[in-house]
Amino acid sequence: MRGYPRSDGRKGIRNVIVVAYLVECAHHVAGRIAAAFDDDVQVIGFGGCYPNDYAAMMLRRLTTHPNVGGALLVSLGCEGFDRAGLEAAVRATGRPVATLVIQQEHGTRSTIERGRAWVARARAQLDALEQVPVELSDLVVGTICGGSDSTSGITANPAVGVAFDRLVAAGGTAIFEETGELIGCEYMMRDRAITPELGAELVGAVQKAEAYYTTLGHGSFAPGNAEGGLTTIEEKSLGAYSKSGSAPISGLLKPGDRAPAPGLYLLDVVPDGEVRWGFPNINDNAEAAELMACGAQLILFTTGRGSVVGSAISPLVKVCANPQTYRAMAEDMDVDAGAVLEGRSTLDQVGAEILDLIRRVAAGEQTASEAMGHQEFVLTYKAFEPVGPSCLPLTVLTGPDTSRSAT
Amino acid sequence: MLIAARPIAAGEPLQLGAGTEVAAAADIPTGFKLAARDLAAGDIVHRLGMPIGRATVPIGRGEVVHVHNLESQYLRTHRRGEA
Repeated sequence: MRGYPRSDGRKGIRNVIVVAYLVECAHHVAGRIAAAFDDDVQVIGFGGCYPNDYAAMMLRRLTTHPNVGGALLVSLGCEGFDRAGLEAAVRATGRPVATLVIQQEHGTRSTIERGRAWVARARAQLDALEQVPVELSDLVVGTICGGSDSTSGITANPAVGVAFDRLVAAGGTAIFEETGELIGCEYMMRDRAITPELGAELVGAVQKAEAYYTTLGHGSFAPGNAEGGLTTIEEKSLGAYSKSGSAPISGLLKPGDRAPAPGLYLLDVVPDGEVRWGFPNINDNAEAAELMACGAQLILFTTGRGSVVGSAISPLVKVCANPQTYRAMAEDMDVDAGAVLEGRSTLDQVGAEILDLIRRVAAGEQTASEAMGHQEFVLTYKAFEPVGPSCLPLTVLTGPDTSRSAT
Repeated sequence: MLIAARPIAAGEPLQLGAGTEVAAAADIPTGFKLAARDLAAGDIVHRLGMPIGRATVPIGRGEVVHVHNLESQYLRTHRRGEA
């Protein structure tokens, strides 16, 4: 595997330029700038006009993500986003960065033209970047499930668990998430924590999720989950939990936190404090964005019903749990984990296949969603408190920036 | 609790080893569950050893176990068409 060295010591497996809109009003212009280029110029952004510490932190993390080589910020001009702060944060990493303010650039067409000229120069600069070797220990891999059905917990999710066990054994970092889809598994998780204090934090995170979803009126359970044979949130959770494999749990992260050392981590995605701004994550891509903000260069996405999404910034490997879905939507899938149900493979074999695919994708091979141009991105309003001292018991080995204060 | 690894037709006899047989009470799509034994209302149902809910009505051996007869002990299951 070869990748792109970044100034903080991390390595990218892609070398993307992001065009980031800082309010929905600048989204179209950002899209038109990126449309002139290949798939390695991608659109991300935040739609809200009013400032939000979480969204500001997320865009700082994402514009300085290891897979991102440079960033063009597109502002309308009157929105609340701290564009100067974001530009300074990106510049501090040595990446090429510029900000275009549409109201100062005389409108849509001239901003698009200037933006395209900037991206063309930055692209040429980034394409000349020397690649360096990448090991599994350089990788942070996240996992999500989307469109789960009853087969998810039997095939794709435990196969990802096998791949995670092997990745962690090789010195890599693995992150699973969605505490609202771990309801019912909190005490099993507690027993895997590397310290009792961390175990208590894991239980607390799931209880917070349960309280949050109770206020909202129902859990993280879509009608399609039931149509796929799942009956209750705890049954869905049991399947989702198996993505975590069997390694000890080394810590509890919140969006934007970097793991202080290799190992397996849980990402708490449910906001802190009173319920505000609706559902914790309005869809799967909001979860992918949070895994990427924690540094995930690649995401394993398991599906039973058949999701087609990809992601900006980090390639998404689609692991299909249901053999009937795989046959119906093969072009959207990377791994046929449903083969286990039909006796054509075993969980160990599919887990090995996933790890092999991680290596190939990290070496540049396109995933199904990448090849079809999927670059979905979602970022909404949220609020988090910093993690407590018990959440990350391991010594800081790599000097990560886990601060969530505005910089 | 049994989980269908492939679509099962109503009435199809299923061997559970050692001379035990159960007949599916209805068509069962892949991944859906059926009761391996008779359950009373209020019984806790387990999948792979973990409780996944409580029976809301008596469930006979071979019957489909789903949202019509099993409820969460945590959060109500949202169904299509409900607000």
